[in-house]
Amino acid sequence: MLRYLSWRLAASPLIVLAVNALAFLYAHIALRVQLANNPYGAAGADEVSLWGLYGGYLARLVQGDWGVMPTVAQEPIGQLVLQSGLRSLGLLLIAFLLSMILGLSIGVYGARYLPPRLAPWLPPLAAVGQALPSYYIGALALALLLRYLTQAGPESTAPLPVQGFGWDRHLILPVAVLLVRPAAQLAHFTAGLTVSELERLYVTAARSRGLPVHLIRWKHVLGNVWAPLLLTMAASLRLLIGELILVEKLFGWPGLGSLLATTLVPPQTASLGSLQGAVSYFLLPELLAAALTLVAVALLALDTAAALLARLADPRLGRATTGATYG
Amino acid sequence: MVESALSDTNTGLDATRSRARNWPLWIGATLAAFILLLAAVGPWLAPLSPTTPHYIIYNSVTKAFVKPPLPPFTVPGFPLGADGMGRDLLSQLLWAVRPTMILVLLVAAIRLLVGLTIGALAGWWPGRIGTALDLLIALALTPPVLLVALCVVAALSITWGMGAFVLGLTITGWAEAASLLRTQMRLVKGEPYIEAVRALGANEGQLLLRHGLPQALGLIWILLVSEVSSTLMVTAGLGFLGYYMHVIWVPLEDWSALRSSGRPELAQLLATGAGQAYQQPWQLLVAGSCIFLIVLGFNLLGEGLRRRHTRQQSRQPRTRLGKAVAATRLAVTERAQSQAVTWQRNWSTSATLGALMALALAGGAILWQSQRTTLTTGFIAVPGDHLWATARHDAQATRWTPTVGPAQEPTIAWQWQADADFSGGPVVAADGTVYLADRGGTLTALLPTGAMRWQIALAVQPVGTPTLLPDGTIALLGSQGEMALVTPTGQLRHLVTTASTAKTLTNPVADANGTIYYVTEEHLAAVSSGGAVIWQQRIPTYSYIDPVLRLSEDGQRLYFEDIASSTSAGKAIYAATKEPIDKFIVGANGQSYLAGQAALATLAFGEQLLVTPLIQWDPILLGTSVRLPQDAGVLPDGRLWIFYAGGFEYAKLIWVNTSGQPEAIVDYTWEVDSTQLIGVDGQGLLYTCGRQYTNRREQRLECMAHAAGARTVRWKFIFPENGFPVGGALAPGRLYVATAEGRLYTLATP
Repeated sequence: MLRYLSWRLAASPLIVLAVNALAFLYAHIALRVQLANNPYGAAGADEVSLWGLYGGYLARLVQGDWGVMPTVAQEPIGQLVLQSGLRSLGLLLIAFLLSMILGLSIGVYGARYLPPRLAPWLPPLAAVGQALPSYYIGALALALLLRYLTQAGPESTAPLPVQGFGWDRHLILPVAVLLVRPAAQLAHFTAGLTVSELERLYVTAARSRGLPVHLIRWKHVLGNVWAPLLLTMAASLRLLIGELILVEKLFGWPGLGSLLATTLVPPQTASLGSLQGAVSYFLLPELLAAALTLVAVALLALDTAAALLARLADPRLGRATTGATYG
Repeated sequence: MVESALSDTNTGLDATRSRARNWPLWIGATLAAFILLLAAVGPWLAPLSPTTPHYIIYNSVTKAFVKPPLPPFTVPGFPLGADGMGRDLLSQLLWAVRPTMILVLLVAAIRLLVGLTIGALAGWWPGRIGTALDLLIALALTPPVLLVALCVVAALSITWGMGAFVLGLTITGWAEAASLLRTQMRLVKGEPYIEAVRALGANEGQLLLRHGLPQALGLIWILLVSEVSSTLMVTAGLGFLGYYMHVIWVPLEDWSALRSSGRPELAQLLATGAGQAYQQPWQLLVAGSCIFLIVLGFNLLGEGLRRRHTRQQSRQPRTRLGKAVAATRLAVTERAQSQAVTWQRNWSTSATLGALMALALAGGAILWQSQRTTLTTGFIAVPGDHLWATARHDAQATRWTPTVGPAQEPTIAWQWQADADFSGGPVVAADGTVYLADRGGTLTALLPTGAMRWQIALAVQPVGTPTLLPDGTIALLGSQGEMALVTPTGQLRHLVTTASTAKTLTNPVADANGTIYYVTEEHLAAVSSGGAVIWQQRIPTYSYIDPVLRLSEDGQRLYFEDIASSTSAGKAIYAATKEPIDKFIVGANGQSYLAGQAALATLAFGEQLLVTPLIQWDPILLGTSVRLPQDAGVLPDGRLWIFYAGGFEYAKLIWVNTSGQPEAIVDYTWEVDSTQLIGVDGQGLLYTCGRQYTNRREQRLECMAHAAGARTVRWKFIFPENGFPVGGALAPGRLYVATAEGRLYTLATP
């Protein structure tokens, strides 16, 4: 375990540095490709060596300078990315915790004991939940709110805020939209594992000793399936990070996902100025490097935490040759 | 998603399910079949054109006119509503399923092929190869697929188009399949029969291909349908963010542009809906519902296939009938056992992999086909088989030649300097001889090698480009309507003059009989190859910008602007439209069209002219509503090009496909009024030349080649000397460019 942890901790800074370099170089190359192919931006192409550019950037980075946004206010990129990252982290953690609680509960109760099998309502529920794109649920919510406002009249206000940031009711819609798919995925997986565990002899023995079914489910069964569940939860969290880009864009949540969407998607309209980077964030190297570095840090932390927890839950994983890196 | 499709394979859950009806299989298969059917026949079911805008619509229920956007179920004829431009959402949806499903199937097949290869190798080979592949799989699994696809598409979609989508969705998307197959291969590898075969002397390659892979291939189709749904989820996510296939940048003004859709596609519908989510959420809902149903269908199909696969492995007959059926099946199976085992061992791997590769190849071919230019073989012929008979190649002014010009980066093969400025471009005879006239009154014939064949001084001041008659005679107009006819050997045959001294307006065109037609500021005239004036009629219209005379393919009509005249007497027979911008043009396929500001119409000539709109486009969206097209043409495949150029604006060329969707917009940054559209060759390459103006000292002549329907430059050639292009011609492997300074360049691929 200690060896595994040391290996992870030693490799992590190198991986983060590699992601930072790749993101920075990628943005410059992609920007050059865009400029070379767009007659509006051809004049802005530079021919400076990429490694030279990155060297300069790295030197500034060592001094704690992540660059500034190309706006009048010249907001520091490091501060912006950190602030956005914290907002996303909050949203992500709340959505993740709720989806895990929901998924585990549905999964555990979706497994019938006598005989061990899935509850008939679980497979269709899981299938529908896993097929629901987050933006689709968001659009449904928006359509309902719009209908409510149309019917309630011009004096009415929306019962829930649909845009913007706040650690209050602003969280409800983004969290609700985010948690559906991971919850459905976890419920399906948990139920499958629970059913197979309920078939084991120790469950029959525990039941014959008079233990109540809910205690067997939550204590003994769940205790034996924690390791694969943790790995699935890590995969769900990764899914959530991807979905975050979509949900933050839909609800105007000023987080890391929103920042990535702005950095990686050009505006629907472009002008010479925006393509030259005067006002646009599209493929802004410093911003993209900082944002992707933060994503890499989050993914590494998540991966390491999930792998360690899984090993704690099931020490056999550390000795296994398969699936050790999975998660 | 792939994980969840197979996640409980080893949990023992399936034994409990084996008694239940496999409803996911039936529902999933029905939904998937419906979706595939919709992809196949959807465009034919569309009630309206998916791209035709309706700016105002009459609602027969409320008896009132309404403006789009329209919510669903409010206006008859638009059951799912209409977008902001009044385009029917149902029709868009019916058109959109096909391209999306083709992309998704292609990507799923590629992901599976890559995942199968890497997963099988990682699972079978321990040691360094296995460790390296394990690391590769772990690396590919770590970042979210959507984020990776987003990065790839953001960087490459502008140059690679759909290729960027395929790469972005595949580059890490294979890892889940690889991870599962790796686990499966490790399980198979531990089986006793593998040890037995190894003990019999089989090497690792034989073991993997003949005994390992066939065991894992049972999962392939389950994985494929799961990959389809996960790929679609990511594709739709990209669409929601604003990335979709066939995206084009539509210039709005000189320095601004708008991202817009080329063709209906599910991701594009999502992108449009996302932009209007707070005003018109139904657009997002309509497209989202379709995505949801497709994903649900394929998820259920995957689940059903998995249950079926597991049941086949664990099924035990319980009833008497079941046992009897099982016994019969066993008896039949045993007889075929040896052949089946042999087949399975020898061919099942190849067949499955072959099917996957066929799926990938078919999808790739369809996508590639949808992007490339397909030129048909039916096109008009030039009398005398001349390579470039007039200024615009032929008497129909199509600017299209079946020969292939310099497809690759060219060099200057030779150049020739005249004593005076050229009056127009060159023409190229069937034997390759190049003819040009200069303003000093000299007509020059050059051999294909660049050597001068002959020169003749004429008593006229040449205007424009000469024309070649079927017998090789060269017809050249003077500035006041006079015409010189010169034999191919350089002898003046006739000098035709008329009483009128009006200025010449057009280049001459010649029909298959050798009759030459031309227009002056007063007359439309026909002259025989013998030099006799056959008829003269008053010019049919004084409304023209860039006057071009065209001959219909059958030689019966002459088109000048929007007037059609008979070639027999020159009388105007059809005055088509009230729009002064409209022009009759002839496509390279021989069809006559009426080209307008925003539509191309086919023509049927009878007692009355029947004009049927064929292609319509949106000039407001294209930003061309205030620009006048200088020229337009149709390729043999029906693709339309419209060329905008004038004395006060940079040139622009727009490609419109047969559905009316702009495929590409080429913006030229050459000096205003210097862009010369030379022509399009048999491979669909478009050649243009112009003068790049940097400052007063730095002006250079350039030529470029673009593929038809594409904006990317195939090659660009910068000439060593400055020059202002006045015309050009295409010949096999060659591009001739004439400049106002009296230089003729021959560009050829080395």
